[in-house]
Amino acid sequence: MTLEDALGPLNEVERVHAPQHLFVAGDLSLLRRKPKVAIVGSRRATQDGVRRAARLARILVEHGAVVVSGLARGIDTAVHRATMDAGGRTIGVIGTSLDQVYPRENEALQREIAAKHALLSQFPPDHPTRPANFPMRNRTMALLCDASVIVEAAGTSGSLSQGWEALRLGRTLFLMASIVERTDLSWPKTMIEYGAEVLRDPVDLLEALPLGEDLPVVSF
Amino acid sequence: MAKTFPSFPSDLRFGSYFAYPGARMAEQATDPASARKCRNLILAVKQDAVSPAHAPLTLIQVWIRQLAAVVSDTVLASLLDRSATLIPMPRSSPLLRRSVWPALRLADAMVEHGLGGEVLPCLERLNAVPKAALSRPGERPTALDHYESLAITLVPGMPQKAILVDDVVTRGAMFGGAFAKLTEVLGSTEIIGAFAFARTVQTFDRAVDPCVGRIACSWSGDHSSRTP
Repeated sequence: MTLEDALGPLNEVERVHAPQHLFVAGDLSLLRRKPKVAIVGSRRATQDGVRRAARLARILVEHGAVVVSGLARGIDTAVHRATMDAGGRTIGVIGTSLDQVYPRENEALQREIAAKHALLSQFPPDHPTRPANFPMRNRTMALLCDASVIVEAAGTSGSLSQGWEALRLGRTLFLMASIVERTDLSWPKTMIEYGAEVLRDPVDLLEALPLGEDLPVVSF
Repeated sequence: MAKTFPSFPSDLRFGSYFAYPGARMAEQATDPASARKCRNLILAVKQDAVSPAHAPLTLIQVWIRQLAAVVSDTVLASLLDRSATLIPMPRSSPLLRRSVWPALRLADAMVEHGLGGEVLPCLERLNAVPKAALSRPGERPTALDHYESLAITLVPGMPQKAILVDDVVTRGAMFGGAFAKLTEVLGSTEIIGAFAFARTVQTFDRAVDPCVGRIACSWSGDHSSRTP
């Protein structure tokens, strides 16, 4: 399907990095559900980061959000698991084609998401898995979601591609306070200068989200 | 030489088209379904979303077309002036390349439908200010904060009269800061008012709710208020 089949029509800014096609396994209706929030972060996550990401996922589930992440090691894995454990719905947006798994250790998780939730890729079957796929996948995730939250990320993480794309699209981007406070990272301050918000209280994120409507209405 | 202090408006006319309820207030409204729909619409407008029923037209284009069709029957007719130049307000942070600028799209749509004469995107954000909608009351940026974060690109033939345009007005601090900056640099341009697609509301009665009122800033730019 095209992205417009999945999400509805796109504006000219959204089309800049939008993939031409999406390959989806599982519950297609999740793509049109609102709100959708991405929680992403480092593959080499700290225990604190994993705990924070999982807690935020549970809060979003309590408030009816679909929780989106990238099925990578670390933060992404914690987010999907916490969402499913809390009885919520999740979308995995992967940087390989649907018939491949990366990392291999997430094979069972990927299969479960494809069967009971939604698994999505912009890459056709047998598409070679290259490092460049992953930041592309992150930009697609930014487009899919009403808001993105970066929990932890190094200066080369694909999460940064997602952050910049969310800002470009005018979507809400939150950075966990714990990364903003780190003096060894310069990118959080730069992103804040371009409109990222610091997540000090999950209520701030909830306040920024649409309230469970499928599509914006055009009559009252 | 004495430093000139910016002239914040003590009485700036403003108009708005929609009401914009906060998330918690929408749930507590007498008609929460309408309040939720309205809130979601304004959030989509802030992203310049395409109208699902009218693609490729955006929601802004659809709703401004509807406003233009009925404007003479609304209080907004006393504010909007088809000979005025529309100046879109910058976003709360500097613009990234090829990014969304809803106030510009709003101004373009207004001109297209005869609610303004031309668009002059002459204001630029140099430094980010906190988003009013996501700030706690005591932490919202003031008119002075906005004034200090803005710059103007001068072009030949600056307008005689102008209306400031934005997607959402909260207390009017953004309009106040822009008014002061424009007045300082474009002494001969008369800013006759400000228009926002939506205004934040304390109680939600209806979504489409054209209104005209006033924005007042303190002389120092520290405080702004909007009526209604």
